[in-house]
Parts: sequence; structure tokens; C-alpha cells
Amino acid sequence: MIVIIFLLSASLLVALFFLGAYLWSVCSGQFDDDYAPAHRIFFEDSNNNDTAHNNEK
Amino acid sequence: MDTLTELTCFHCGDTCTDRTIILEDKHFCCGGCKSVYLLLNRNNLDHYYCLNTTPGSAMRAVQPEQFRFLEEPAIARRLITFSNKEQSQATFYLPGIHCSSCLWLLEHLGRIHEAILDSRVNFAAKELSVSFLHNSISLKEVAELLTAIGYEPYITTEEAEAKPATTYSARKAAYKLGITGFCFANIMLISFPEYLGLEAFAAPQLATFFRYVNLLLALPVVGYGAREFFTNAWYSFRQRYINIDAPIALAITVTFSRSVYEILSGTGAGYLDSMSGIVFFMLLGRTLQNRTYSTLRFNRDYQSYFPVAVTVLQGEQETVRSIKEIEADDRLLLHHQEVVPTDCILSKGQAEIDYSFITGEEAPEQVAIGGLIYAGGKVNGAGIEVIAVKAFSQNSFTRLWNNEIFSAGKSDRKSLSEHISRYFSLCVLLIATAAWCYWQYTDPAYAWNAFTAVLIVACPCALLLTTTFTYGHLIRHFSESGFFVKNARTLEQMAIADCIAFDKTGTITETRGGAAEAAYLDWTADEKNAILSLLSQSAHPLSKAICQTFPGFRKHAVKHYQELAGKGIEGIVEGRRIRAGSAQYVQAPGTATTDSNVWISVEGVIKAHFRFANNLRSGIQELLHRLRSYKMILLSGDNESSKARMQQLFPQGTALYYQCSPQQKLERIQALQNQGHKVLMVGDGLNDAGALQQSDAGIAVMQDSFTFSPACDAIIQAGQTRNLDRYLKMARQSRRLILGGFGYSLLFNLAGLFFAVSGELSPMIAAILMPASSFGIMMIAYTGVKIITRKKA
Repeated sequence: MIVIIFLLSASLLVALFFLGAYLWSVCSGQFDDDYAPAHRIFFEDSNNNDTAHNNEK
Repeated sequence: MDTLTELTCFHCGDTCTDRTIILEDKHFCCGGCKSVYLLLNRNNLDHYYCLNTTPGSAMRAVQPEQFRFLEEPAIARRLITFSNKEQSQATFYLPGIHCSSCLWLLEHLGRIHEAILDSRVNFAAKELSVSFLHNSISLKEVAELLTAIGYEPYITTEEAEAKPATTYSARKAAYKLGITGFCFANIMLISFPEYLGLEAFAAPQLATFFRYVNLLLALPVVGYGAREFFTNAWYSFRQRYINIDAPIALAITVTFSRSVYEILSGTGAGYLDSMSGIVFFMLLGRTLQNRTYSTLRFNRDYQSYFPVAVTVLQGEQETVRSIKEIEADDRLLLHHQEVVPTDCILSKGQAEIDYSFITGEEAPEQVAIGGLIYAGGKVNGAGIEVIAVKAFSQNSFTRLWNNEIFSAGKSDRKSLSEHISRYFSLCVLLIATAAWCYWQYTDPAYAWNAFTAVLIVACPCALLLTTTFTYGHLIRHFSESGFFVKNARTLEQMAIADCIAFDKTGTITETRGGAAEAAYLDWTADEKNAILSLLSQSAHPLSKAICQTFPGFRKHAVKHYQELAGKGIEGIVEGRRIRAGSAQYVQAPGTATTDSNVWISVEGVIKAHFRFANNLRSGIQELLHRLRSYKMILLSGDNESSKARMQQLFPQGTALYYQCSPQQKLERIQALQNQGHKVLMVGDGLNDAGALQQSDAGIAVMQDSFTFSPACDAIIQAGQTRNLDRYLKMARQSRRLILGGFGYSLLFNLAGLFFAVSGELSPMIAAILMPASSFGIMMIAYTGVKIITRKKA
């Protein structure tokens, strides 16, 4: 019996941890712009290629 | 169009006209686009064109003194977010940002100018923050650089204050949703054993523990998640009418109190699971529906139409002064395309003032020295010098905005869900009381049980869910196709509208005139010079278009020049009487077409006939045909010259009103409303601002993201105007969809009521009914909107 109460509390704590992570991510502005970061990822590569290409010249 | 293959500009994707510029194998529609390409090419930024085809925006002519006001420290401070000895960081709002190419280019600004250290785009807000060495490049130069590559910063006086509120509320909604979702999911999980009926007998202590944990988890749901329902309900209560939130708040209160009572007294598990589920889904729906377009502003006031600052002359010295500080008797220098900030008298130069945005008049007005220029006009041609007659705050332009309609707002008009919820709430209360009375006589122990159960089950949250989800999906779909609706109320008004009022200039017609096409030409070189001399006297767009077609002619003096509005012009050049104008005026054998025609006669003999590709917006004619089931009216501020053409365009019997002042437009709409019509207003100019506000749903036509649009309920991209009927149809269908969804949820409510009235509403039944109805509604809304919008394609 006690073990169920313990397990439940533990699971709630884990869930609270994730809730905290979510709240932190909202607070730090990660949901403010859902377009730019996703596309920025693609640029870094091509950017480096470009500069590498330029250096060769 | 005769051309089979249309050439499009490599930079902006516009159709190239006859003045195409060809560079290597690429076509450009104008010099502006080409120069952007060259600039990027020089700096190894061609990658811009690899990410998307034709990513650029059509270039606008850059005025040399456009950003001079940024030298003024007080104005610059609003844009600069951080500054130390060497570098500054500034944030610009760039409406032109629209694709990943923009993102890429703007984040590589450093390659164009080495003093720019870093640039970062916030795509959702269309903002760019730039760090730069302010000793090597000034804020003004950064703004000019951005303009040169096609991203003109939009800077207004109201900019600074409006911003933080929107991001704040979006985050708040995310917090609420997260916390409520967390509580809801855990309560559901913990309640599960209860549904299976295991606990109460096998392990009473465990069951009690579970219940108390649930209660704990429900506190943030009621106290934080559902707070907006309580505040809205309280607000409506004070306003003495019932909105949709009132019965919901009641249901939440009743559910929560009964659950608390049951748990504390140990008699049951309560309905916390259903309650938190309902709150969560309703918040989800609201978030979806209220997703604001942080980049669009629906409630701009007139001040954002004016420039931030103007050049003031003090003696020989030019200074830049904020527009609000302009006093009477100040000498102002106005450049080409600048907006006149206040009522002035022309003191130097020749002015041509374009009032089309203010009055709807297409032809610009010529003003001679000493003439009065009104605030809001746009200067055409060379720069002029004027003397302010009134301070900015008192100009003639602000008069319209003092109309009470602008302060009243539209929130007091009832929406569909509010109409229904009123009767709904009344019914629910009646049934609850009836159940209570019945049990009071038969078995008093059940009375309160049944009463509260009815209120719990019959919560009109389903109604709220249906509307929020349906309209939320629809608003999102519309915005993807270029039609931005402010809120769900606008969609409801669109669905029930039976009358559409159109503005002419800028809505039905495009503001730029079409090109002149010679249908008949039989003039000698002498006559040509004489005719063009006459035409060059007129500021009418058609005369100008003809003159532009024949550049370079020998100008003669024109005598006895006269202009008859809506008919034509007449004058004597080199002893020859020349007339130019409509067929009737020139006495030509007229053929009725929808195009504009200009006939020219010399001494009574027809010498030339020009036809103008009509400057109607493409697809407008078909649109008006499809909309013929609506009552339509035309409210134009222009003169009656286009009346015949408009009569052909609109269905027979359509009332066409010309030369309407903004106030008259507003009154016409009011008159229609008094006759019981629901009026939709479509307009673009400031002269429509009053009408847009007065109408049940005001739709502003927006040429591009730069153009100022008056306060309105929805913004439609100019190119999408032709699809207005489809949008209206979809709004109507979604209204039917909502009624359908509501009927569906009513079935569940009735089933629940059956259990509730008989006093046997177990938490499990509630927990089955609630999600079944909520999920069903979400599915109906989602698939329904999908089907409605797919029909379009």
C-alpha cells in the first residue's frame, strides 16, 4: 500500500520536473518564434560551405 | 494580355512589363530589383536566391531623406535597445520579412557592411535586432541599408508602446495551458482506479489519499486556469447581460464546491477530472482562436499614417523635428511622396497633392503658391516648402477621429454563442430547479445531488468549444491565404451579412492607372506636339498616362484652357482648338466598353483615340457577379467620371454614391443598418475609416505590408479581394458547422441530464461523457473546416 503512495508521489515529482522545464522554456522565449530557429539550422551548413568556398578562391 | 509566356522578375517575382531589364540570363522588373541583386551578388550573398525562388519584395523608390529623423536622439532612443561606447543594438520592425531567404539574408548583414557585428531575426514578430559599431555606421545608415536590400523598416511614433503586451499575453496563455494540462492529465490518471470501482472497498485509505491529491491538483485549475472565465463572468454580470462565460463560471463553481464537499465529507470522489478537462479544452480552444498576428495591427489610429518627423526650416538651417512638436507658423520642407503633417500654406515650389487616400479622389490636386494644403495629402513631384497653419494636434484630419464611433468599439454586439447561451442557461436553471423540486417531494436526500449534477452536466462548454475550435481553424486557414481576420466575432458578422458596401478607389480599382493604348492615331508631328502640350496641363491620371507614352515633344503655350470634371479638357494651341475627353464630349462615335476611353479632336476632327486597360482589380468583375445575391452599394469619394463604368460593373439597381465625405460614408452605412441590414464594408483609404468602424464587419484592402490600413476587423491582401465571396461562403458554412457541432454535444448533454435528473450521475459517467463530447466536437471542427476549405481548391 505504502509503495503505491510512494510511487505516486515519485511520478508526480517527475511530472512536476517536466512541467517546470516547460514553464522555463516558455519563460526564456523559446515559443515566441517557431519559424526562425527551425530554418536557421539549415543555414549554418551552407554558410560554412560558402566561406570555405570563398577561402579557396 | 497577348504575351503567351509571362516573364517574371528574378528578384521579386512580379510580372515584367515592357520595361524589363535583362542582366546575364536574368530578368528584372525594375532598376530597384536589379540593384538589390547586384548588391547581393557583389557581397557573395547569392545564396538568397537559392533558398526560394523570387524571394524579394518589389522595390519602392527610396527617398534620400527618408530616415533623417533617426539622427534625432529622442527618436533613435526608441529603437536602440542597448548601447555602450563602441556598439549599439537596435530593433527594427520589418514588415517585408516573409520567407527563409529573408531570414538568411538579414542574418548575414555583416557581409554587406563590416560594421554590423550581428543580426538576429525574430520571424514571428518580423523584427530584426542588429548590433553595430556606431562609430562606423549610424542608425540612419543601417535603416538605409535595410531599405536598399528591400526591407524597409517601419517606424511610427506609436511603435514603442504597443509591443510588449502581445508577447506577454501569448506567454501567459502558454503558461495557463501548460499548468492546466499538467493538472488535468494527472487528475485523470489518479482518478482511474476510481472509475474501475476498486479502491473504495479494497483500500479506503488509498482512495482518500488519491482524492486529496486530486483536490490539490485541482486548485491551480480553478484558481489560475479558469480565472479568465470568472473575471469575464463578473464583468458581464456588472454589465447586466449574460455572456458565454457566465454559465461556464457557474458550472465550474458548482462542480468544484460539490467535489470539495464530497471529498471532505468522504462521501464521493467528486467531478474534478471532468472539470479540469473542460477547463483545459476550453483554454486550448481559446488559445487557438486568439492566436494573434503580432505583425498585423488592426487598431492603428491615424497617427501611424503620418511620418515620425519632418524637416523644419529655421532661417537657412534644416532641423528634424518630431511631428508632434510642430507648431503653427513653422516652415516645413516636404519631399516627394511625403505625407503632409498638418494644414499648411504653400510658400515655395509647385505642389501636386495626392489626396486619394484621404478622399478617394483619383486625380491629384494642383496647388499654387499661397494655396492651402490639407493634412494627410501626399506630395508628388519635387520638394516643396510650406508654412504650417495649425499645430499637428489640431489639424483638419483629426476631426474624423473625434467621432464617437471610434471610442465606442464593437464589443457590445452580441455573438451567436451569446444568444444561444442566454436561453441555454435559462433552460438549465429551470431543469435543475424542476429536478430539485421533484426530489424534494419524493426523496429529499437526492435533491441537492440532482440539482448540482444538472448544472455540472449541462455546462455550455461544448458550445464554447465548438465556436472556438471551428473559428480558430478557419482564422488560421484564412490567414494562410492572405486574409487576416481579427477575431471570431468578425467571422460571425461575415456569415450573417446581407449587404456589402464597396469603396471605389483602391478597392474596386487599382490606384495606379493602366497604360495607354492607341486604338486610332492619325496625327501629324505638329498636331502631336499641340495635343501633348494640352494634355500636359492636366493632372488627370489618363492625361498623364498618355503623356508618358510619348516622351519628348515640343511644348507650346496653351490658351483658354479649361477642364470639365468628368468630361474632358479643352484649349487652344497654336490657333487650333483641341478637345480631349470622353466620346460624348469630343462627339466621337462612342462604343460602350468597360474600358476608359479618351478621344482627341483637333478643330472638331477626331485625331486620336486611346483606350486604357481598365484599372479594375483583376477578378473584381467576376467577384461582383458572384456576389449579386447580396445587396451592394458603392461609396466613393471620387467624382462621377467613372459612374457609367461602375453601373455596368454592378448589378442593376445598385446604389452608387459619389463624392462622399468620410462622414457621409459612415452615415450611409448607419442608414442601412437602421433598415435592418447587416453591412460589410470593404475599403482601403482613410476616408473609409469611419465606415469600416461603423459597419458590422469592416475589411481593409492592403496593397502590401507597408501600406497603412485604417482600423478594421479584417485585412485582406489586395490580390485576394477577388476571393471575397469564397471567404463569405466559408464563414457561412462554418456557422452551420457550429450549429451542427452544438447539436451533437446537446445529445451528450441530454444523456447526461437523464442521469443527473435521476440523481445517479457517477463520476465515471461524467468522465466518459465529457471527453467523448469534447473530442467529438474537436474532430467535427477540424474535419469540417478541412472540408469547407478544400472545396475552394
